[in-house]
Amino acid sequence: MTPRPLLSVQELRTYFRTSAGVARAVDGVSFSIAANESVGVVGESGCGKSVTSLSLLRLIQRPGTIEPGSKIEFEGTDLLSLDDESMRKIRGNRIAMIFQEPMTALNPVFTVGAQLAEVPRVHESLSRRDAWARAVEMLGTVGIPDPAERAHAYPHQLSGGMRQRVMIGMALMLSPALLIADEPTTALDVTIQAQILELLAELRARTSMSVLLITHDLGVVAESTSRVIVMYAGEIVEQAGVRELFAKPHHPYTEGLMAAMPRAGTKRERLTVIPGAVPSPYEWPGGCRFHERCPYAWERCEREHPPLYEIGAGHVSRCHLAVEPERRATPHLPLAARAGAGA
Amino acid sequence: MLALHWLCAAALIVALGAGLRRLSRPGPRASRARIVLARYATQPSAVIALGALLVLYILSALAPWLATHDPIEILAQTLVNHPPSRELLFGTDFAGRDVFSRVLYGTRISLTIALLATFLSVVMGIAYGATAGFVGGRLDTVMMRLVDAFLSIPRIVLLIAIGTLWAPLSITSLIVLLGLTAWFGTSRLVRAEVLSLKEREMVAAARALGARDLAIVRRHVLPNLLSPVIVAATLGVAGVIVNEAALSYLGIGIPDPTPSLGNIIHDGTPYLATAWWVALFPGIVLVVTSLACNLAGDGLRDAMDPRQVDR
Repeated sequence: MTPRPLLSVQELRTYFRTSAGVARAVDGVSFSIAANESVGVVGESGCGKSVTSLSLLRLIQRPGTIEPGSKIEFEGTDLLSLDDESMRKIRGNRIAMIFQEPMTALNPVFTVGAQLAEVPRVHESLSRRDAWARAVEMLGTVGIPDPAERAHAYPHQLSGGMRQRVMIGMALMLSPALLIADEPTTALDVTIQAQILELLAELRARTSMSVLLITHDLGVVAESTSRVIVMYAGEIVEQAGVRELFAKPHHPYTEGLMAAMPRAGTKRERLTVIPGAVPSPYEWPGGCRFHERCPYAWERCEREHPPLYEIGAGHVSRCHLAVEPERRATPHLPLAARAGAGA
Repeated sequence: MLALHWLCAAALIVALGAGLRRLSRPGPRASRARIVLARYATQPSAVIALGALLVLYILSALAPWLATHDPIEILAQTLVNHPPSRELLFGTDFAGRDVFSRVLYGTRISLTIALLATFLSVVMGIAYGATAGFVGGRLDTVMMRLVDAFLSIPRIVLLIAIGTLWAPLSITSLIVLLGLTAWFGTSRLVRAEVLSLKEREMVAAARALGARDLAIVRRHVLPNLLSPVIVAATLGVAGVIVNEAALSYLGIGIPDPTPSLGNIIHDGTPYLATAWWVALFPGIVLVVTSLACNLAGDGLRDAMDPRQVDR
């Protein structure tokens, strides 16, 4: 079918073995990203999005480990079998990552130009002068006005949006094939958010890199990705093209996320919420991990862990509704809402 | 000793030059150093303290030219415990040596020892604390419990114990002794800073861009440690000067003919009632130096505190 993907993740499991037990933060995640594709990963806090992205770069800190049996193939190389030095060379060169907080992700004691120039100086041993020129050029590319002057600015002299632009610039210094953006717009104003997303889309169009966009904001995903992965409790629960997902969400969790999205122009007394919270990764519930919060759950959901059912072209959902669709007609109060009534 | 003294002076000049070069950077590249200096300048006590330290250091550095006599020469049997006069500014001590010259040379030796010992302790403290903080885990626990153990012994008792075992101390070994017993507090401070620095996203971002651990320490950890360490070092100098004086006063530090603030005071103590000038003048220098170091350190801390927002 499609040509070989840029990145292919199979049965990724990242566990944290602590004195409190084993936290199965990421528990059997498989997906792939094609060249120049933009994929979104959505889910609540604590569902394993960030751990997934850090696992791709093998930046999981102790006591976290990527379990044997997991497979991450990138540009034909098995990343999990690489030695540390080769992996280090992949980071920044081939896969780059940007983070949520542009405040703390830049070093306060160096100018932004110096921080950008550092990247090619280390990776390509460029001369100071050439590296500086590249840094200034990159600042222009990411839309910083008057880059030659701004390169001399310290991070605290730039606004949040500017700083995020600098971070993106730093990640793109070595023209990576894949950019992982972990909540890149969460800390920014809505208008700045849109600008940053636009910038990412523009850079992707210009450079043929792929983007993995991690967010809890479905709106962000709708605007800037072509395919969406919905994660819940360490697993992928639904995956579809962005239009398909918004038109026909299948998994009750996805439905819940969409219902919980505040919409401009509609007047609602209260925001809809999904009752309960993401369960603890130390003991995911048996059966379907969402059943306690699901308005459709029935006995089967408590008993049987659902597989990823194929429900359309490129659309999969981890919900038994795929085989018993008539159940959707009779929603009820979820277990979590009943137990936590009044809370 | 002379070599050490000039080494110390040269290091100070280089550091001062680097600071001035930072300050002189032109235009909109407003550097942090300039902000710090401006904030420092608003504190009169800190400015006076810095001035006093500079004057004392320059006077003592020029000791060979300013001294009116040889500091260890016994002038004459008739000039024992001679009160201050126009010829002998601070008088003479029990052996008939010129106290003014001895104080000048003594200050020079004491300051040099204090600066070098502090430098040694800061290097030790950074290396030790940064290793413990950055590596973390079990190594951190073991290293820090060791520091706790050393900190639980009063510094002066530790100094006396090792100093007595090591006696007689040369000036170099005195510096090493003072330096190696002064870094515990610094290492704790550095470790705490490193623990918080390494959780910052800039470290995660650097890792994600393929930076090595060493590069992270060099580019992200050490430069951000500078402010607290400079403050700790300035305050540390005061402590080391007092400790050195205490050791010399107890006769464990600098051996007799060579002057140091501590042993001049020691020489004067038995004659406080009859020849007060012998102990008084070095005492004043000692108090002023240590007070000035403390005030300058406090001023620096206030000037460098990143939580203070500019208005």
